[in-house]
Amino acid sequence: MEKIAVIDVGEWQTSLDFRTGKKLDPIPVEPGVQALQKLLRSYPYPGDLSPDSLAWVSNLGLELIHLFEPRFIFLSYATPFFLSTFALSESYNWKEVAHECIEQACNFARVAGFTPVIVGTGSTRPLEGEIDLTYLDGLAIGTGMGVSYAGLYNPSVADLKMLAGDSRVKKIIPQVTIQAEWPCQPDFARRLPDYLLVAQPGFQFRGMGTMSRKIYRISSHDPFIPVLSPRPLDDITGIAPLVRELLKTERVALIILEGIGSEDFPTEQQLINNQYSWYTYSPGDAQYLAITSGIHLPGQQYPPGNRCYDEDGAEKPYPFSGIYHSMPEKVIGSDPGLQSVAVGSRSILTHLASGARVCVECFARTLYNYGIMGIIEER
Amino acid sequence: MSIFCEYCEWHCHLGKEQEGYCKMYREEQGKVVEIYPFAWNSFGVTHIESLPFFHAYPGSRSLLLGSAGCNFDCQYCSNAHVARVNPKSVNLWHLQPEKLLTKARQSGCHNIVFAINEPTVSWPSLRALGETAREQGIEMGCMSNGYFTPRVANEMAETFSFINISLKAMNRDFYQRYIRVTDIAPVLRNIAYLAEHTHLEITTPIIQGLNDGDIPSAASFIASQDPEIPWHVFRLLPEYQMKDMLAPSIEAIEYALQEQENKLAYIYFGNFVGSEWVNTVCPDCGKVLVERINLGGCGAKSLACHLQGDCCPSCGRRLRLLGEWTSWNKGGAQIGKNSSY
Repeated sequence: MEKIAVIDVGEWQTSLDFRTGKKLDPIPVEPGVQALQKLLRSYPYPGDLSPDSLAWVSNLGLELIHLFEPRFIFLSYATPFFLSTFALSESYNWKEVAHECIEQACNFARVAGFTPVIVGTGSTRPLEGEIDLTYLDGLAIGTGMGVSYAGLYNPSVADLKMLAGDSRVKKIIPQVTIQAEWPCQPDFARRLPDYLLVAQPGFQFRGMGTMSRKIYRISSHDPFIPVLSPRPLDDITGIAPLVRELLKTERVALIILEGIGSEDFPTEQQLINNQYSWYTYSPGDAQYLAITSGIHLPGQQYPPGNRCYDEDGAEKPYPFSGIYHSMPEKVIGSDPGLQSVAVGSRSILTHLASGARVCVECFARTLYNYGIMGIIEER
Repeated sequence: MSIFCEYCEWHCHLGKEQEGYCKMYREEQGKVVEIYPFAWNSFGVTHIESLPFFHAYPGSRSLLLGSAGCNFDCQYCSNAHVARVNPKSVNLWHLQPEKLLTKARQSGCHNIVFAINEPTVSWPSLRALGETAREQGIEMGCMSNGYFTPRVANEMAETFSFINISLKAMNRDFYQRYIRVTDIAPVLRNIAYLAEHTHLEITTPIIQGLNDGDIPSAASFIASQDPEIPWHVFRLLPEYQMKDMLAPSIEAIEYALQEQENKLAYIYFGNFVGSEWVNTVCPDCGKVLVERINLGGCGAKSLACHLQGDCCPSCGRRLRLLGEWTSWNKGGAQIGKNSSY
């Protein structure tokens, strides 16, 4: 089913075909679209580094429930991760931010009357240093917010020797090893770099595509992450099957709290495995998709360190979905017959990971706040 | 010994321990030297239209490069994290021209564009990079605030095949109050020079209530230089010292721009997602020649090109264009190919 994107940049809106990005003319007048337009006008996004964005998620979530009566809602609160990554620690009180984030999530579930499954994506730690890969003979790709994994293309023998001697580099894994050891789906396999580099905890790589903004903390890559769930869980990929099971009898809210580790979580938490083989998830698309699809990294479309720009030509569909050429399959919100909604402050990951029929997310890019996007399935 | 910096219109007094306003130069053995030569902060692949350049190799893949520091103190700066901090606090890495050009080729880039911060503050390094790039057939462009000396203007025209100058207002008072420089005159002088010596596009950020009234005079000034110069107006989302200011009204700016369409052939309006002002339209017959989409940011991404060479296929009008449509995966092209100059 086709989707409509409604974009609100503050006092101005437009409605576009979600797949092509082209303006819809005439603008659909169906009630769902009109309701979404009105909603977006009423809730300007406070910004990635504003603690007010926590309540923005909760309030919009309640509005979406009121308007669309879903059985499943997906929420992501990304503000704690953005603050810890990009803001000086003196500029905010971490305990207060973490506490407020958890309070918002728990209160939301209580007020909405949904059974909550709340996941903390893991803690952060101070950045200890950067590993400069720009000097290599080969091409190193390092994207995302805190580059713990980088892709290396066409390295020289000298490159590999230097990296092997760098104590800050934890692993250098050839593509053939990954393909031999992991059950890679075809798109994942063809996008693998020649080598995947793994940084030691606390370090980030700097290569082609690494953000120019200074980061202060980086994901701790916790091997176990905290979950509040009505039933036992042991692995990150167990969350989606559990939510699907719960949905048979009740309305469920799957809530992601980014940058929150077990130390900040309520005591009744369970700790679940956050790894696949030697790979540890951190806030980003792979972790979101492991949570919402139940599929580990090799079964997804994009490995870390991939040269995604090669596929960003004029013909690429889904212009508002980053590097993705198609919407991820098997995510909970796209289950047939399930009325699903989503809201999040992690921009495109909200619609990619939720697959929800109605979705509201911030339109922020590298911390620049361009407004809000709503996405709704055409009826 | 002390000397005066010869790169920008501040003409800073430099000494061994005395940096200039931009904190990127000092004196050494009677010469102006870069404190951070061949030092870069930004390094990535982007669409040339995202910078924005809409009339230079549309569709092409650019290596985006930036360093640190600036000779302006724009109170609304969007890149204050690299431009308005002391460069020594910025993570800089070092690459000599040969290596950078290798990176451009490895990543399939057709050209290199220096943006993010002001090129004048890294001028000797950029000049050297530009010379090597030219030898190797890779074109370079830059975004600049235009506040450089006539000598640098001349060198920029030699070094860069395409330049986008930010014309931030049309009055000295704005430059003094919000940019913190003494005069607009050098910017206007350099625009006039570059319009005659290289491919030039101009960008004007609009801040509601502060410089939106300058839209007519800016359009008239550009038209007096060359009415074919592409003009990018963008809806500034103030940051840095002015981050609490409201974003400008799109409808009000659209109205003001419509009034200027008889002066300039190509007016664009961006920095808001879904803008309908990012296509290139034939000034004579109105046919859409290059389709684009704004995805956030001041520029856009090309979706389709309907040009025949550099002409409108409908009425045959020649379009202001440097080079030709260059598909995303084409890779390196030759300097000066098919220029409409």
